[in-house]
Amino acid sequence: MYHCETLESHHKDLVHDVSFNWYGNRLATCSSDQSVKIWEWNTDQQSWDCSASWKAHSGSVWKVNWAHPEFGNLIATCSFDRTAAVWEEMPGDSFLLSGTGAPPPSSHGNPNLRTEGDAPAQSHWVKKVTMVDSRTSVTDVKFAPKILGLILATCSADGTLRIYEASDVMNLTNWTLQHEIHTKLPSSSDDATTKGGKVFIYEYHEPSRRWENIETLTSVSDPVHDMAFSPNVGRSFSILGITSKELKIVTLKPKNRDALLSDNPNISERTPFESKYEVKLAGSFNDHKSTVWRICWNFTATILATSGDDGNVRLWKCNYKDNWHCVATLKGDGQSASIRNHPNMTLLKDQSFNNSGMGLNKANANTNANASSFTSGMWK
Amino acid sequence: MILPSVSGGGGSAPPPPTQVTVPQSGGALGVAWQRGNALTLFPTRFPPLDRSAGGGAAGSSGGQTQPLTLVSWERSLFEPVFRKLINESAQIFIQLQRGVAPGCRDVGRDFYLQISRQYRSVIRDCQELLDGAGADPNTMAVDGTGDTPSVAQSELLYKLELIWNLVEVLVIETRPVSKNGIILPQLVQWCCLHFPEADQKARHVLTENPEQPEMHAHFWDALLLFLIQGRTEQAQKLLRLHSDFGNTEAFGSLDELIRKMPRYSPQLMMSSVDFDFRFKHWQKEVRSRLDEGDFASSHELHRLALVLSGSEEALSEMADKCETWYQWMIGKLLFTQPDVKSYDLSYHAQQAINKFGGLSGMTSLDSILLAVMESDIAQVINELSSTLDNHWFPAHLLDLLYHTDPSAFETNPEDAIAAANACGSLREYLILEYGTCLMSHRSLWQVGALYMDHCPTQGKYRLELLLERIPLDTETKANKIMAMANERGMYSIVGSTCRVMGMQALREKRIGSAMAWALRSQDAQFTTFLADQLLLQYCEEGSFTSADLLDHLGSSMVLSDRLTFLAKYREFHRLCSEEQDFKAAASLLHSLMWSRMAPKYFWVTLLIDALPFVSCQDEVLLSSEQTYELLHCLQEISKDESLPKKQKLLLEEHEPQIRLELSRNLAIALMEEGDEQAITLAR
Repeated sequence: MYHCETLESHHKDLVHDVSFNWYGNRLATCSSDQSVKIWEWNTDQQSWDCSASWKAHSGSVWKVNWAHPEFGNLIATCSFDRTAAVWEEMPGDSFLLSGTGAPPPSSHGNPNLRTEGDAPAQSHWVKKVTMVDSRTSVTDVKFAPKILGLILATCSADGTLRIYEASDVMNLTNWTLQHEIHTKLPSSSDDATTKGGKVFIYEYHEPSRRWENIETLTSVSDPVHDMAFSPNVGRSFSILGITSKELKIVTLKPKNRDALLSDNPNISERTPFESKYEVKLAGSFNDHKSTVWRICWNFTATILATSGDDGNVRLWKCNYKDNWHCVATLKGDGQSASIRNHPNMTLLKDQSFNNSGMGLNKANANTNANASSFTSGMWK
Repeated sequence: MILPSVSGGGGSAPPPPTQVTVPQSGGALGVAWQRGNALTLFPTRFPPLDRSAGGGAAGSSGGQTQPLTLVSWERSLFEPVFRKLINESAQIFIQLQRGVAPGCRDVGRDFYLQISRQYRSVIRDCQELLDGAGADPNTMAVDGTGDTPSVAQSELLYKLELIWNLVEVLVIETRPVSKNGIILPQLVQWCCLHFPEADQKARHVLTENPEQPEMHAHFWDALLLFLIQGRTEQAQKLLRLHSDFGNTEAFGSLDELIRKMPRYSPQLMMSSVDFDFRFKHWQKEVRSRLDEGDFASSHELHRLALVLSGSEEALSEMADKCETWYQWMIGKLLFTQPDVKSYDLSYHAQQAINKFGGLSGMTSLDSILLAVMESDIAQVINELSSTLDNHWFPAHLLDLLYHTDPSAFETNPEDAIAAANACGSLREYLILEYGTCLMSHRSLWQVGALYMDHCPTQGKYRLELLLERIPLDTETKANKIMAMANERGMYSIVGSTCRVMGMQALREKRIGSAMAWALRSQDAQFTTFLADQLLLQYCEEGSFTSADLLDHLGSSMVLSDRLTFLAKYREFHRLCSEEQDFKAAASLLHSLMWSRMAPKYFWVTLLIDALPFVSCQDEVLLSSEQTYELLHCLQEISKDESLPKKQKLLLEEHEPQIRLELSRNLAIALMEEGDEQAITLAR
């Protein structure tokens, strides 16, 4: 049975992104009111409490993303103000002691929540760095899988993808712009009439130390709004979910695993036209019957969630014959009233992928860092 | 947990998506996953648009926004009342996996039967717990339906046990012996166990009308129900209570027929043909007595005899007295085809269902039972999964069936190996789902991990993903996770857990504790960073906060050069203060600097530390060569532009004194060494 509870965000304008931390016990929200809020799960009272709220940018904040806790409590944000930023949580009184770094611009929590005694300690989030390289709105920001280190990818409205790396994970004020990739097609303009593929897959090429376009998915020619690689769960192939006019699910299987397992010198001998992946369209769905805007995997890579223009969020699963299908739709009831009892959602047959037991190779995981970033038609 | 009435559909097409309505205004919904079966929906706008740029229109929502909705599912098992069910079934599950593990002695049908009965007893225990909770006035229903949630759940568990029992009878108990064996006795027993209506009615009759039981409305019903459950002794007893028994010939005749009814029993070693012959002979006698008008005197007796004779008409009429189609079917088979084979059961079940209004009027319980009778295990699991909130039941059931006879998964397997593979895949899927669900819970995660160990294909990967997301609230929890990961060779989790704990300790300024975690993770970079922090702290405060840790580093100090230095420096302090071995201390100090093991920023501190040794009046602690080398270091550091400002100031303050004392010591040392040389030479 579905269980629903509501949380008043107290944002003064539309919320654009919500993101849970690694453990699912903290929540970050960002909004057009230019602020970011952090929420903590209170086990005793079974409620979400706001522990920090501050003005993070001077424009709408589009996305917020958590780093792996190994690097500390870090979030990255990006905004219409053409910047992206990395924020670190400082323990209660630390900014008074350390003297380094200015106190957060504005770290007043919601006064309603700050009652005596049981209120969570207000935490302070300090801006560690601002990435100012973009000349247009920064539309997405994402940390790389932790195995790659502390790496951040951003992309901007003009179709530029940037990859930053923290030079020293213990000193977060130094980030270097490692790579800049211009994904725009030479002939493309902002209108959606451009012919040809809209999804490019880049892979880090060790010998040349560059990100190279290894694949252009010809099966997608409509404007793409979001995309996401599935987390690495020990499958021998990657799954990429793409949302445009409809939901498309694509699998990428390395053609020659030996060549990909190590940084085999043979890779550089390949002709540039030879594809390293066997790309297969695993499914194409227009259940939303309208544009699909967002896509999101659960961390076990078993369920895919999409949101569409029809106001529905749909959940998708894969059965043991590798067929994807929609298992649930979640829809607003048009009024914030109480919930009726819902039947439960379960799946019958599923995932019996015959794994070779091989994890995704490094280069492949790299592309993961930049999921949702390589589209030429990200929201115009 | 409820069993909604859904008609049994074809198993091939995926079920239609579940519709869920959440308290949200219409319009675009964004979505974000949490850990486990939980996500958050938030009202938003696609594509995103900055209002300040888009003409500066004020927020249409009047400054306030809609709330977020946190949706979660598969939570019913997290109720405390199911805790026992979860823990005990996990033990049985492990017991089964151990029993079938390669290398163990061959286990037979009895082992599986025993496991199956244990599972059923766990379900019944839980049902009793729920009944107990239901009786508690504190947990009264609030939904106004009169039923407490525990009543509904207890009912569900009863139904689940009914299903499991039927599977046990038809698949686990019968199947491995012979596919053509006689199954009706087991079915009859199953029916008796779950439908005590006959006993209840008989009890009513006896308590309310002990004198003239036949006057009671339920007398004949009870008698009929006893008969169709094959309980001839009870039927005879009840019949003999009739006031006319002994007075009328008809009663004696029926009593005799009931007594003579042949019963198939596996213990009798009776062959199927032999039994069939005797049964037909018996029914012939029933029919001839009917034809002779033995029971003409009593309408009731006549009807019962007709049932015994296997008359279609009488058996059809009997349907009104039966609660369910399966009860009727079993009763009917008892008098028409007592040697029914399991492969014929499906046909009879279909007929019975048609008699009771067809599939459309059936609940999912009916369709599951039908699928069991059709031996369509895939369909059974299919129906169960789409009906239940969680995977506890299908996962455990299919696991047992998989071990019993994996090829039984499909009704008509063209390829036994393919069927077994499909069964194995589905088994793993269900166990993964169930284990994943447990692992999202605060305290049940350890139970969930046990299940992952028995999923050969994906279990390890899934466990790794789930383990590293268990919130590290306490050190105990972190240690547990690390022990689990170590046992399974998941060393990346061990390292990651240590680093997260280390970072957390560092944030709380517990550098010693952070260092302990860093050492466990063998992370050289982090260790170096922390050693630097400790040294800086020493520079500021002049004492060590984690002296114990540093004194007992042992071989782990080689992890990072900085840590080695820190440990050595700590040893220097101990030599001075505890052992008072100043000569050794002075040598150590010198070697730390001259070997360049000490970080540059710490040299000033070391040089100041050297002051008491070189200004010592009684004894020369540093040789001329050592002193000379220290002077060299002083020279180097005073010319170093990269020295932190604080250290620079400190050096400026002390440099003249250090230089003076070092030079003086050099002079004394040279003199003394000269003397020694002279003495040696003189000898």
